Amino acid sequence: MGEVARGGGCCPPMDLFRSEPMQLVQLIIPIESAHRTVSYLGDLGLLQFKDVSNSKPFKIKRCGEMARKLRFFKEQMLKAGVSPKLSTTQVDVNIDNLEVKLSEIESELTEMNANGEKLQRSYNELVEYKLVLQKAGEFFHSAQSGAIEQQREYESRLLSGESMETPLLQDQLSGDSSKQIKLGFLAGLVPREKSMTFERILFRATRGNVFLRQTAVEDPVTDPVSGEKTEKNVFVVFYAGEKVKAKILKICDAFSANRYPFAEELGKQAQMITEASGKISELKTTIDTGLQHRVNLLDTIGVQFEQWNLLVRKEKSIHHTLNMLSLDVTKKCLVAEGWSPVFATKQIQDALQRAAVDSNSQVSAIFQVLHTKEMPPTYFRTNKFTSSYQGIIDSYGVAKYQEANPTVYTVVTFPFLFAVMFGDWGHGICLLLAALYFIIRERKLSSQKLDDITEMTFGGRYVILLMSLFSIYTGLIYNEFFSVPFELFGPSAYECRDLACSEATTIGLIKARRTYPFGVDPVWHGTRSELPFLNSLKMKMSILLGVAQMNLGIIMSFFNAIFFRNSVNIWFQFIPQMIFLNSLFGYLSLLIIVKWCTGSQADLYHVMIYMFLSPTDDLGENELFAGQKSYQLVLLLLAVVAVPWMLLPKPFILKKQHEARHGAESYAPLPSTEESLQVESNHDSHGHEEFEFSEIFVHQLIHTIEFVLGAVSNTASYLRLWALSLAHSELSSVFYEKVLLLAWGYYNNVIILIVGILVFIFATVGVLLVMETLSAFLHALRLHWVEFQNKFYEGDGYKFFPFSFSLLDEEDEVL
Amino acid sequence: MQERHDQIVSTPSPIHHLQLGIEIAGTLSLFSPIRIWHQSTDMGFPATTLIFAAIGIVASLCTVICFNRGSSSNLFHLTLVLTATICCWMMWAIVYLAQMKPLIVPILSEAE
Repeated sequence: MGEVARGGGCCPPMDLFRSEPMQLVQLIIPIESAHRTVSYLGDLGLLQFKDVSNSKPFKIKRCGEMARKLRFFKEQMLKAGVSPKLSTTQVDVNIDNLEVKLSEIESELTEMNANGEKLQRSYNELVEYKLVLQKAGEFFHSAQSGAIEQQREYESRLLSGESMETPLLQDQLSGDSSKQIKLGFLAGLVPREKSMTFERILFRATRGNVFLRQTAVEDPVTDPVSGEKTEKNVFVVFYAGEKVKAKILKICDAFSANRYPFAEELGKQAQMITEASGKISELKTTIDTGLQHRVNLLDTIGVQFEQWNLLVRKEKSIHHTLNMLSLDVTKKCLVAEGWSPVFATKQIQDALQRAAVDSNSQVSAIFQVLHTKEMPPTYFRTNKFTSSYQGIIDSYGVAKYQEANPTVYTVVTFPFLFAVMFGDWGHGICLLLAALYFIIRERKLSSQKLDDITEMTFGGRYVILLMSLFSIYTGLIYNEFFSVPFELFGPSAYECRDLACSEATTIGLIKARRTYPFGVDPVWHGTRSELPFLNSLKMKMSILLGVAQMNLGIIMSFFNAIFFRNSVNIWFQFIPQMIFLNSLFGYLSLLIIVKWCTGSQADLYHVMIYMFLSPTDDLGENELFAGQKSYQLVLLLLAVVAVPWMLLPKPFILKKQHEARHGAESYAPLPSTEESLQVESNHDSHGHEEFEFSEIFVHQLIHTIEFVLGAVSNTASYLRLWALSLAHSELSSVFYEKVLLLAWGYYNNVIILIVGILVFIFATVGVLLVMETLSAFLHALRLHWVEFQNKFYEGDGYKFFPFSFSLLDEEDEVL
Repeated sequence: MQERHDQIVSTPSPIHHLQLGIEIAGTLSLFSPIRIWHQSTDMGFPATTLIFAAIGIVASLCTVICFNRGSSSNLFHLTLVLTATICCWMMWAIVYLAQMKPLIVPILSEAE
C-alpha cells in the first residue's frame, strides 16, 4: 500500500478499537533552550524521539560519575544500616551544584572510612599487644619462680654437702655463670590452627635449639591485618644466636604471626600493661565518635538520596536524548524528529513555548509535521482496567498501525471462555475474594516492590475480577458449588416413572415438568448417565461457541478491509471465507440447534461425514428437516466453489493493480521539497516496490490452505472447552466425595474431621484454585491468540515508547 | 376426536378455539419455530430470552448514563455490555435447549 490510509468513515469511532493516529514531527530547537525543552518534553511523555544524530555524543560521562558516586553512597548506607527515606520536601537542586556537593561528600566519606580503618587497626594491634604482655608475663613469672625454686634447691643440696659426687657439675655451673651465653626471645601471637605446624617447623628449622611456649587465648581476637576474629595463641620462643633469630623471624612472617616487643623486667612489664590499657580506652572512644560522625553523615545523605537519584537519572536520560538529535551547524540549533500522537500537538507546542520562555531564549522552537510513508508506532490509550488486557494481546504481537484491536472483544470473551472451563460458583467466589483483596489494597501494593509472582497476579487483578464474575455465572449454569448441585431456580424437571421408583436405576426417570429454567438440572449429579449427557452438552456447546468466535474474527477482518479501503480483501477474502466456514460449520451448528429443538434422534456425525462422502444418498432416519438433502448439496457446492474463489483471483488482481500504479509512475511529478533542514531519504522507504507474482501467489496459496484446514482444526480445538470443564468438575467432585464426605462419615471422631477438612481445603486451593486457574487461563489465552486472531490479526507493529520520566522510574529501580 | 368436534359445534369455548387454532397452525406450517411453540407447552425459552434482552438494555442505559465520557468511550462500553449479554445468553440458551427434549434420561446409581 502507498501512503498510510486514513480511516474509513463506515463506523463511528470507538475507544481502543484502533490505535491512535500518529504523526512524524520535526522540532527545531535553539541550543540555549535545548536542555530545558527536552526536560519539559520528558515531563509530558508523548514524544518518541528518533535517532537522527550525526555528530559526536554529548557529555554523558558526567552523569556516569555522579551515578557512580550515588551507588557508592547507597552501598555505604546499606552497610551502616541506614535506609534512604522518601523525602516529601521538594528542594530544587541545580545539577551543577549537585555535582560539586556529591564530590565533596564522597571525599569526606572516603576520608572517614580510611581514618576509621586505621584507628581500628591500631586498636586491634594494641589489644593483641596487651594480651602478649599478660600471657608472656605469666610465662616469665612462672619460669622465674621455677628457676628460683630450682636454684634454691640446688643451693640447698650443695650446702647439704654432697660435693664429692658432683664436682664436674659444680665446675660447669660456675663456668656457666661466668660465660653467660645470652638467650634471646621473641613474643607474639599465632593463629591457633597454625600453631602446631608453627611449632614443628620452628623445631626442625632450628634443629631443636629453641624453646617454645604457647598458651591459648580464651576469646577470639580481631586480627589487625585481616580484620576478622580468629582464635590465637600467645607464644614465646627462646633462642640462642643471631642466625637462629633470622630464621625464626622469617618463619613468623610466613605464618602471619604478629610479633610484639617484650621487656624482661617485671616492673617494666606492669608499666607497659597500664600504658597499653590507657591507649586502648582512648582509641575506643575515638573510634566510637568517628562511627557516630559517619552515621550522621549517612543520615543526612539518606534524607536527600532519593531525590538526587531521580535527578541524576533524569539528567542521564536527557543527555541520552540530546545525543539523538542532530546538530545543525549553520543555524546553531538542534533538530529533533519523533513520533507523537495527533491529539498531543497542542500539548507539545505548549511545552516548547514554556521552555523557550523559561530559558530566556530569543527564538522559540519550531514545530513541523512531516509526511512519510514509514509505518508509525502503535499507541493505545489504556486505563488501569484495559491495560492488562492490552498487555495480554501485546504479548502475542503488537497491533499494526491502526488495525482492529482484538482487545475490545477480549475484555469480555477471555474471562467468559475461562469461565466455561472453570464453571463452579463456589470456586468463583473464592477467586472473587482474591481479586477484591488486590483491588482494595491497590494503592498500597502498587507503591511496594513485589516479587515476581505477586506482581503478575497484582497486574492482572481486573482480569481475575472479571474471570471470577463470569465463573460464578457459569457455575450457576453448570449448577456446581464445589461440585454440589442446588435446586435454586425451581423444581427439577425429572420424576420417577411410578410412585415406587422401581425403575429409577434401570431405565431411569422421566421428564414430567417444565425444563429446569436456569442451568443444568440438579438431578443429574451422581447419576449413571450424567457423563454421557454432560459430554454431549458440553461438546456441542464448545462447537457453537467456537463457530461464533471464529465468525466474529472473520467479521473483524471485514472491518479492517473497510477501514483500509481494500475492496479486494472484501470480495475475494472475506466473502469466500464466510461462505466456507458457515456452509460447513455454521450448518453443523444449525443442525445441533434443530436436533435439540425437535428432539430428533439423528446422528450428526453420520450426517456430516456422509454429506462429504456420498452427498446424493438419501438421509433416511437422520433427516432433521424436509429438503435437507438438497440443502446439503447446495452448501457443499458453495464450500467447494469458495476455495478457488479465495485462492485464484486475488493474486491476478493485485498484479493488475500494481501495473496500473507503477505504469503511470514514470510520469509523476517530482515530490515538492519542504523547508526541512536535513530530511533524508530514509523516509521514502517504499520508493520502489518489488512485485514478485510467484511470491504473491504462493502467499495466497498458503493463506488459503491455512484457512481451509484451519476451519476443521480450529473448530476441533474449541473442544478443549469441554475437556477442561470436564476435568474441573471431576476433580472437584472427587475432592468433595472422597475427602470431605469420607471425613464427615466419621462425625464422632473430631481429629479425622479436622484432618479431612484441612486436606479438602489444601487440595481445593492448590489443585483447583491455583492449577486449574492457570490451566484454564492458558487455554483461553491460546484460543484467543490462535483460533480467534488468525482470522484477522497481523500484529507486526511496534509499540509507542515515548521519552517520559515516569516510564524511566519504572524501568530501572536500581541505578 | 368425534366428541371434540361435537363439542366445538355445540358449545364453542375459548379453550377449544385455541386448540383448534393450534392444530390448524401445526398442520399448515412446516417452520420449526412454530412447531417448537406447539410442541413445548412451556414458554420458558422466549420469556427468558426477553428477560436477558431487557437486562442487557438496562445495563447499557446504566453504563451510558453513569459513565458518560464522550461518544467513542460510550461506544466502547456499550460494546462490552453487549458482548457480555450475548455471551451469557448464548450459554444459557445452549444449556436450556439441550434439556428441552432430552434423548438421555437420568439413571440413578445403585447406592443411595
